[in-house]
Amino acid sequence: MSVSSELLVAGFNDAVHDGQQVFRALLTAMSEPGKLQQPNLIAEGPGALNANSWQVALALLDADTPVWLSERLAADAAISSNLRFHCQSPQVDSPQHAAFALCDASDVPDITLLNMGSAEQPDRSTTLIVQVPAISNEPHWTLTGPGIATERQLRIGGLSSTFVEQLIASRQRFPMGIDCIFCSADTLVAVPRSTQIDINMGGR
Amino acid sequence: MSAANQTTLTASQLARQHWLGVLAKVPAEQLQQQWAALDLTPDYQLIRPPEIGLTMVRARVGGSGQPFNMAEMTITRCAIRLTSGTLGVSYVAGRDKRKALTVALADALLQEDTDQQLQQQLVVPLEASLQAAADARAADASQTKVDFFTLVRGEDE
Repeated sequence: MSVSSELLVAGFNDAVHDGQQVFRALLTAMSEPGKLQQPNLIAEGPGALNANSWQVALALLDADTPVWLSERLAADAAISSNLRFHCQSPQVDSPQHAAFALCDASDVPDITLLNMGSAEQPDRSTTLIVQVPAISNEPHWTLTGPGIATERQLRIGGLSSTFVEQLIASRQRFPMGIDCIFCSADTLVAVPRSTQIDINMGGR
Repeated sequence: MSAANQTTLTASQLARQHWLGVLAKVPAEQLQQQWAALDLTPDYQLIRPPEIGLTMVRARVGGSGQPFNMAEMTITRCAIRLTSGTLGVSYVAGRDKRKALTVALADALLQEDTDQQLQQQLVVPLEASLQAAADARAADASQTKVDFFTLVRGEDE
């Protein structure tokens, strides 16, 4: 597949420093699950991808990270062209072979199809980046686990119940599992595999 | 690039290949002078700010042998978009970010240059000076040219 030049959008203005700031925010998000981060370093994303997901992709993806796009995102030529141009990431057809999977909340993959790593090398797993409509600290999920002193509240909009069930069920396979990064228009939050999720029925 | 690949290019691609080649090869100082004289200040957005990197230069022995990795060279590349939407790209040898940006801008403007005006003002004179420099060098070298020949020694008779 080729790059369509008319669909290209801008990358980071300052690739090194902007990339570092987004990476720093992601590091904080991963080490303190449920803590909201807002590193807004970029104005617009390509096609259906919002600016926040785009900056995460710019910071994390490169020629050594095979990326899998969900069906809806893969159909958007702007997204695949820009990923090719700015990140040089190989795009794979099967999420099993991807280091990163990029999807929209309306279009999440079956988690069991993603690469969970192996018992010897759990770090080889796929990291899932999900673009969602809304993220807040309203009580809906109660998160506990490493990086959280007591507990933290998190509400992520737009996720299907099947996906959430699969995500919770995947905790049984620790240390194998999937680390998730959720990106709304301006906020990102991470839920790594070590975080336990309890759904508050009362909080709905 | 092999001859088979070139035949698939359209006329406009060949023209673009030509001016990008000229602009990349011309000395930076000369390019900036010529560019400044035109006094163009297009509005643009940086798609890929000028960045410096390495690329592997591959070569073939005698132009037809097996390709091998000859050396790495430093290049600077850049991509910009004019407000009209035209994308300009550049790949130039060396670490001159300003040259990369100028070439990218010139590339975008040359694509919009339907009346060949910019082509005449920028590419043609620069190409002429490149050619003049190449000719001067060739003339210089030809002064010390040695013709090798062998006298008939009569051994074959």
